Amino acid sequence: MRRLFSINKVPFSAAILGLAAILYFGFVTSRPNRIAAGKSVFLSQTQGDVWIAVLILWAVLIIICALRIPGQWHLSSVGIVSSTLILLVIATAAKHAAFTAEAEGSIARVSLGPAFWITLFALIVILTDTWQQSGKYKSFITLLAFGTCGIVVWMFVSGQLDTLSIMREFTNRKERFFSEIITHLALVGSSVGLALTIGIPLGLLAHRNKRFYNPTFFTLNTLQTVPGLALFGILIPILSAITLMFPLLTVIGIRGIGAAPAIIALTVYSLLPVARNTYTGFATVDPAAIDAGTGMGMTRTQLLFRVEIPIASPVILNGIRVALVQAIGLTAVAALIGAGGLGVFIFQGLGQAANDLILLGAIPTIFIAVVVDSLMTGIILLLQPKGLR
Amino acid sequence: MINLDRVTKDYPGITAVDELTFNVEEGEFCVLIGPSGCGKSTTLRMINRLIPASGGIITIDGENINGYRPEELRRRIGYAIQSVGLFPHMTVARNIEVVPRIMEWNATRINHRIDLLLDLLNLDPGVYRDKYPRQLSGGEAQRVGVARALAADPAILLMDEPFGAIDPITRQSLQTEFARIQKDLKKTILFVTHDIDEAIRLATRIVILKDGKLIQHDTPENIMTNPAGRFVTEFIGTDRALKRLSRLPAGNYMKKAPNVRESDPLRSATGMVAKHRYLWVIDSNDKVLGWLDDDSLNSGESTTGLAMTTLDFRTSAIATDSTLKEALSRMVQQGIRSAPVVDPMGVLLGEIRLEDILEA
Amino acid sequence: MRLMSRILLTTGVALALMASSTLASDKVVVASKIDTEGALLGNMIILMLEKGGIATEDRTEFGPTPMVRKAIAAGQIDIYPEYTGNGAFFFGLADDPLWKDSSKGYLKVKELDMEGNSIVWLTPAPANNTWAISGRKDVAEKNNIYTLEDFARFVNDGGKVKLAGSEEFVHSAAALPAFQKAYKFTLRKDQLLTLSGGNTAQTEKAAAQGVNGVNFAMAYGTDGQLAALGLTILKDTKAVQPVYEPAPIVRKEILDKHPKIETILKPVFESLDLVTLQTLNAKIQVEGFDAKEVARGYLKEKGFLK
Repeated sequence: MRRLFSINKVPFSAAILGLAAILYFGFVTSRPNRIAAGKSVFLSQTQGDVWIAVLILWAVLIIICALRIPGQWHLSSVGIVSSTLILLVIATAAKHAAFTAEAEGSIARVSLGPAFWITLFALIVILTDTWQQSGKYKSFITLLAFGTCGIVVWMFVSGQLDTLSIMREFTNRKERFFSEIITHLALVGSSVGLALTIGIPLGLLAHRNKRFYNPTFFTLNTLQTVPGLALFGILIPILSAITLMFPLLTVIGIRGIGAAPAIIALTVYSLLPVARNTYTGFATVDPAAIDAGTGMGMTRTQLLFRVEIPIASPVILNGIRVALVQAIGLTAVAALIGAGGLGVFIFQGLGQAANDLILLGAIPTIFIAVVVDSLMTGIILLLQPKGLR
Repeated sequence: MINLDRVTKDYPGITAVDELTFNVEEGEFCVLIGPSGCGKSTTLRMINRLIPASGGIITIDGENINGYRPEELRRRIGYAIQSVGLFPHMTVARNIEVVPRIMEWNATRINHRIDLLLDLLNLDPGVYRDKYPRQLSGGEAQRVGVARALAADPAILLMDEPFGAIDPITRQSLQTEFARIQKDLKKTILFVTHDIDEAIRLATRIVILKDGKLIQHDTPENIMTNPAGRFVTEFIGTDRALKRLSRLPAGNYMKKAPNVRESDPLRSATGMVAKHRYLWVIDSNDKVLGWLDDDSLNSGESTTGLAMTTLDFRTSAIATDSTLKEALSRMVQQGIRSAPVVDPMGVLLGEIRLEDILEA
Repeated sequence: MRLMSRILLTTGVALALMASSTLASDKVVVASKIDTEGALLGNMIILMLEKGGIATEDRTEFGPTPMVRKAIAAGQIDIYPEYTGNGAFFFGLADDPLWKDSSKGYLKVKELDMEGNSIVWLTPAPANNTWAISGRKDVAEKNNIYTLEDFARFVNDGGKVKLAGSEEFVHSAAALPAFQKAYKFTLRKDQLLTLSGGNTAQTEKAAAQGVNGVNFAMAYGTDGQLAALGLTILKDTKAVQPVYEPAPIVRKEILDKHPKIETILKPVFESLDLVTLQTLNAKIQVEGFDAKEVARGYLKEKGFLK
């Protein structure tokens, strides 16, 4: 018996977790209208019969994760089953929502429940773990993952998910949603951009001249500890007073409310990771290399651009990555001071006690953060000088 | 070629270099040596202006070094340091070509130079060109550092304890190699070390410093025979005589080696053994295989080859380019009074006897 | 060099972003507070002004009351819907009984805001969106609670009461304390659930779901979700609360520039009575439609828009 089973720990635990969720928590929540109390609907109670396929495949998944099968078959089958399950889980929720819309009209709402989120999370964990474990088959698993994403995008675009509550919120304010995404990205881009122009020279200065290290980082560390909302709050009267003194500033768009205080605050928060990583990056350059370089006749500029910056750049880029991800999250709060961004939906949802509207703001924010993080990590890997790997 | 005239370096509270005056001839291997803190490194770094002198004048070929932009000065002087300082993000080839690139040599000339230098330093260009510093051993890295210093073909080479961080075995071979390279390239070298053996082995002239002041500036032989005061005597150490031997190549002191071929019948050797007390046995390529003495004659074998006592030339013979100090060391180690002198293939070139060493 | 061009590019984007918000300097900036009714009225203002040929910039759902007030005082927004009763707080006249009269209150705040801030109050809507206490229909019907007098009786008889309200509602002299004083009842600490935000959506949801035993909730007169949540408003028979009628308020400077703003908005606001507002709010809140679309639908239905 022992030789038959060999438990693949991570996927197995995740699969068991998912099963427990399916059994104990509601899969979706049904409510007669947007704000009324919802009733939990378990997986087995969902309309459309897709849930049968889900349960069967889930059992298959658990068994495969426990069996001893040769490496590549094992990983491939886990990969295929879990990707299919991701699609089926989403389809089950969508099908149920579609049925409900037919039966009870478009006012009724079907929201995604705890079991949905837990099973989706479990499946993503399994797929990620499988990808990491696969050696030669990495490209196959990558293809599977992209394929699954592609099909989900297709489901989204072709309107099959439209009856879900979160999608209804989206449909009702499509234009505003896309314009707020652009605003959100613009806020992040401009503030991190500004932080680069200030933070990189600061970090370099702190590295070159020890006297600047303490005041620079003491200030930045202290600023970082100020809670976001508080900093926004402080900036508004300050900026309003300044714009009253210098009305010319309003002409170029700096007002006490809106984008200006948000960008200033976001820039301030982005300074620390950028400056600190710039300092550390330059500090990792071997002083012997600098000595040799100078002794060979390289000018300060040549040393900076040909030696120091290439060696420091992976660390600096990492600082930029941290600043970007941090800014994406913080910008959600900026909506409170009229700067716009995806936070607008979060706060509207809070105000109207409509959870799916909150999710309409929160989920894209998280998604953007994850995508930016992965992109930056990829860029850093690609640009890393071979000698430093 | 390089002239230091009352050169001084002051730091708050201490004078690191005090009115130092000496000159270095073209093609000379000048070693700066002294105890820690004597100012040898400081002096070296004043020559390429990494440290500005507080007083005095340094000239190269009669021109004051302050008359040039520091970068221009340094590009014409090679610089190699103990920790090497290779650029970790560049391959060996790109490390070496740094200065030529700055000086805008064309690509063909640069590549040619890289291959030449790697060859010179016993690193196969095909293998080492595209390696990264982290893939090199200590000895290999130091060699690349030297190649990099020589890249733009400077007339002067400054070296600051380049072999200091290398293990003793590698250090020995690096020193030997370097001495050979210097014979070929004939650069003017200023070499800082704290190792007196190294100084005696390599230097044309030695500058001994103490507390920033010049104590003695002379050839190693003269320093050993006429040390300027108690400090120098103690610095050189009581084994002066032995140290002296390291400057004498074994090849210069070998005598003709009595020998016989392995295929020769034993009887023919009898006369020679009586005359010389022992004979070396060689093969048809003149490679030394063993030796014969009185006892071997009584062995009853038919040829010398069968009667001889075999020896391994790699452990028991002396290489022509090794020093008398190494020869003595080996003979003491093997407990023998004479040893054959061979070339790298083991071909018998001569012999050295203990008496010959003592007479040197 | 990549780094340098990246820096230049993002700085350029930042400057462009800032510059772009200046291009709107000729547009009338229409704002509102972050709530359903604000979004509704704000969008009505935008649609009507646009129809009247006035270019607007949409800054609806801007922020909470203090933020919006600061912004209009600083000239950073131009027009937004405000409530007449709030004049009591803006000008520190909370105890004055005149706020309980709709026309007296309106005239007073119109006068004070013009004098102090050069802000003009335009024609208000005849809907009293004032503070109220609502209760679960089942509890109300079971215990015969239809007015606040009935509520006071229920509390004093030891009935099971838990009221969810905002910080402001529970502590502001004009709110719960005023009710308690007038109807002669007192709620103990354990009978109250205090939320930090001012939104009635949360309190009403709590009562509807019976969260933490809540069965009564702070509400506003024009809230659209009461019926859908199974709650009913308890009548303020003694007229304790000041009158809160929504009216567009605009900076005098802007009104002088576009005097027809007044005439454009007057008939629209006059048509919005309590029931109409409740219905429209419900469309947004309960049925989930976009505020702009609901506003547009109503204006078309009434013939204000083609």
